Amino acid sequence: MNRRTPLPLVAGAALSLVAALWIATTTSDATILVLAPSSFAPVEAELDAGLAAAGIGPVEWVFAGSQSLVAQLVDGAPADALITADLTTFDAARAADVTWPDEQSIASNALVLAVAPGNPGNVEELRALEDADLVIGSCAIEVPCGRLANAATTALGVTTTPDTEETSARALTAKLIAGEIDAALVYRSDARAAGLEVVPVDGLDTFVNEYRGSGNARGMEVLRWLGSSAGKRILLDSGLGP
Amino acid sequence: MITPSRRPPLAILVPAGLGVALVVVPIMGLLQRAPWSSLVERLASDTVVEAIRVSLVVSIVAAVLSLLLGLPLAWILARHDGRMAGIVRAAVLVPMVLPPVVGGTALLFALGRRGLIGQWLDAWFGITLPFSTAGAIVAATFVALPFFVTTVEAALRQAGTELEEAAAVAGAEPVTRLLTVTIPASRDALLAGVALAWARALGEFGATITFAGNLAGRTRTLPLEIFLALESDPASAVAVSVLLLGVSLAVLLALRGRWFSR
Repeated sequence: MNRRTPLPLVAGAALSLVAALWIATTTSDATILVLAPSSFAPVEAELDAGLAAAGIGPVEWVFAGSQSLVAQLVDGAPADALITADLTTFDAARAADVTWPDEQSIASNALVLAVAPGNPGNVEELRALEDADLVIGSCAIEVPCGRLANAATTALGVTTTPDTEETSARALTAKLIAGEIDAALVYRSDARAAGLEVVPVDGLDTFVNEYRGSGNARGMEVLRWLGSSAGKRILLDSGLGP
Repeated sequence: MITPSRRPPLAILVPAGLGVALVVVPIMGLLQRAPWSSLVERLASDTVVEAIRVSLVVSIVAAVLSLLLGLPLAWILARHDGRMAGIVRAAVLVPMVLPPVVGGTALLFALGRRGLIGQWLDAWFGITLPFSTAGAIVAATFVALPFFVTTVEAALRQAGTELEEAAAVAGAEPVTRLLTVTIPASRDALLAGVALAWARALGEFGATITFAGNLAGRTRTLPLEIFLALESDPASAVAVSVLLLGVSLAVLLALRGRWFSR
């Protein structure tokens, strides 16, 4: 029988386990944890710099789809503030009792008709979304961008027959960037971050989602700064609306 | 000689028990949330039935493709040990360890409308795979194939070698030997390989949603239906999850003892 003891192996495994737990559970108490929509991700560095200049933070951002953020909170994720990309999701968070008493309206996001690089489908108007010969994408009706797009197309009298119903605004934008979709209604901030070509559509910019936030005392410092002129300027540059 | 005691020592029993708990407790969590009283009507709803139809078509075709492409591949790998075979084996197994979303992106860059090969498929034949059932099948086969190949290769290494040699001596051509000797001799492993590939294809999510998109009746399989329902109707999402869990368990129980058959 082999008498070599497995002690080094066991000790090594135990040590790495302890180290992993230590790394996984170490977060600085000074950090303000903000759960925010993915549309903030492109300007994370600018926001961090602005917040630092205002003496707030350090802030740690968690970017995800709004429903995922709310689901994380319901499941007990730690957070100092939550920002959602539409009021329906914010109301759901409030109903689930994962918001704080203080709330702040942060920004808004409008839809634009974006086309694949080079506009291979020669899309020139919103009615192109009805063209069966084009590859049309949309957000699923279950997610905020899909609800907003549905409201817009219904009001503007366009009936879309999408080839795919993506589960997030970012996934839809990614397929436009890859050139797999000819046209889709996406958030203006996503289109700008991706440098996508946009076809102007009259009346489309009246359909907006409100970004609303809620936080504890430290979280509200961040949210109020986002609502201040310094924060607003960064968000407006990213394609969000006031 | 060590006689095995009836009960394993505590130092082994405790981590083993924790390992079982890690897998079983989440399943219990799912079952405890399941809307048992309305389970049948939730599964009979139009959207779920449509997703079941898409899932069955996609997973069955993917399993058949895995068999047709995977059997010759497994046979070559089982009969060759050179460096080339090692490289091919590693390449074929990559989808097992690759995050499926990366696989889907890779498929998009290869077979999408602007992809490496996809641009020619589109220009010459007018074939575009993304957002089509065919695309969902490609994504499912991509992730399922390695499960078939590993299972069958291991079996082919052990089964049929001597019989094949005898057939070769008797003058049978390689393809004849494969069809008349090797396949019948490793029938159990082929079944296991097809069943595993089918189960993996049935559960496929990441590569499908990245490459084939999500459209009811065309590419929305059961896992995509679950993901979407989690946003709007969590109880139905759990009901469909329970259905998939039941199917997976049934496949694994049917395979019990046959995984890597003799």
